[in-house]
Amino acid sequence: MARVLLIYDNEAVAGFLKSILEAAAFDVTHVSTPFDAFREALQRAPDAILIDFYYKNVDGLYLIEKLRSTAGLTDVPFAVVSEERDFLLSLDALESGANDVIRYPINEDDFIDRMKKICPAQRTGGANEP
Amino acid sequence: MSEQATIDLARFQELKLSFFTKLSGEKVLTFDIIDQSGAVVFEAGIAIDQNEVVAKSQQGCRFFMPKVVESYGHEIVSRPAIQKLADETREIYSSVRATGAMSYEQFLQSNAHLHSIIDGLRQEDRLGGCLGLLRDMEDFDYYTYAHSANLGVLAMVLAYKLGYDKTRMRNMALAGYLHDIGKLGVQREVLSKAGRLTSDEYNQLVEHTRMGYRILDNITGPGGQKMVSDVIKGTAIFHHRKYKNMGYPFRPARERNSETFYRALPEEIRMIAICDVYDAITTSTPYRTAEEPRTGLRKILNLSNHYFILDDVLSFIKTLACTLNKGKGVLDRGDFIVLESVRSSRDNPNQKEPLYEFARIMSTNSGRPIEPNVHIFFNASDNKKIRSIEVDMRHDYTRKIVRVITNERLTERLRRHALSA
Repeated sequence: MARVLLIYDNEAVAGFLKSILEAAAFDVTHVSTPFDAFREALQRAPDAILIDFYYKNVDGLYLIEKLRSTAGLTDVPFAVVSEERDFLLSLDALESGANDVIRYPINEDDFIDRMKKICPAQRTGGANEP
Repeated sequence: MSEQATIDLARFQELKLSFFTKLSGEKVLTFDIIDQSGAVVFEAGIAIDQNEVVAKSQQGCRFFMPKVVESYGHEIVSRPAIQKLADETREIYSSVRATGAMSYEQFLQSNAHLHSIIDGLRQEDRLGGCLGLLRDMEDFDYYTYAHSANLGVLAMVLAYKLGYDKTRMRNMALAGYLHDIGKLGVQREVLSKAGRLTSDEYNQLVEHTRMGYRILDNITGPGGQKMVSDVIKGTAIFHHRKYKNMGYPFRPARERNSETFYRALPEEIRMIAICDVYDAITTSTPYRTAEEPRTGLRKILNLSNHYFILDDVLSFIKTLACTLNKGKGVLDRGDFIVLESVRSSRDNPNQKEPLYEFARIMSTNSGRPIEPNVHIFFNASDNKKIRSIEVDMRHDYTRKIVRVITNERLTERLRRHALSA
């Protein structure tokens, strides 16, 4: 079962994303502050990180950069959830090393497909094999 | 083969004797001066002795320097001036640290100091002035005062190149020089901490902006009147504000949204904020190693529309890129970039929306760092391939460069698209 770390400060949206992922047999841990994010990420060694781009009071890009440069987290794939339909923001997320950008409104099937694609194959039962 | 044959004098320009006599005080060149045989007569970084120049010229020696495009500047450095500035800064800062306040005399002192450099800049107007100062500043160790001196000079050169008048130029230089004065209220351990800050420490760091404002606001003249101009105080408090994602301090009174607030800030503050980030990227600090000027400039470009207003970033790069990056530009042939232009919205023709296109740089134009010749091949806003067009950015007034792609995976994807275009 693929473990996903969900970093999101809006409880309602986080609950929604978590329920979709859990229905597709992902093991989801939700944290709502950047401090918790670092602690959990280091402790649990997740298979993928799903992060809200516009984090309250913390620059989303900065948070991604910091997570990326932390030893042990450099290779963890991550996807970014962006509430804005802003091309440059998506591009910046990809530039900073994100594997995918998920935009609102969320299409459940598409969302799960994308998450399976970025998680390592053995964890999702080979879902991303051709 | 004689040495003469290996020197291509076409790449050099001859210096008249008047060039040397115009150098006031002890001046150091940042480039080698050669004679007609190609031998180095004055090495870069060594003070020039006027008597030696005359003696050599009487022996029939002619002097040549590398040809530079006008905007690159000739990089004449007055070393004692830099040294003095850094020393003075240290002095003022340590006294402010001890007393917690800045006196009117100290303010005047920093003022006088920058003044002397500005005057120097004006005197050497024709020669491009003390642009080399910037590069030399990088040799200093990173202390708050060195960063301050850096910003003072960077801001001043920028103000000069933007064509500000003397008062505005002086204010901008001072604003850059004093922007971090509030850091003196932050514990030294917090400033130099290499690891992650705790939230208390972070809050303390954030406070340096308000603290700086208070220190500067408390400077009063002999009659009790406020002495420091609003731009200088404004820089101290707002230089960490960002265009789209706030920065700090958050939400002063009457502020409706981050973007309108940021746009309303004086140009000086917005430009100093860019200089601040540039200097931080290209200087080594306890928690990161210094980046090359080219990388720094690319990073600044990629922060546009996000941290900074695009037009500010472009004018920063246009004015300083060649100077900062030793005559070279920011973009190279083969780089993938994103262009921004404006079009009418499909849904409502009265409304404008941005149009983004991917392009590849075919060739660069010397002295025009952000106006290369490009090949546009993809419309990113509509996510579709377009028939590729070639554009000379020097003559295109609708498109602006907004991003340069540095990520390898993205570059690879774009390369495949470009090939099939």
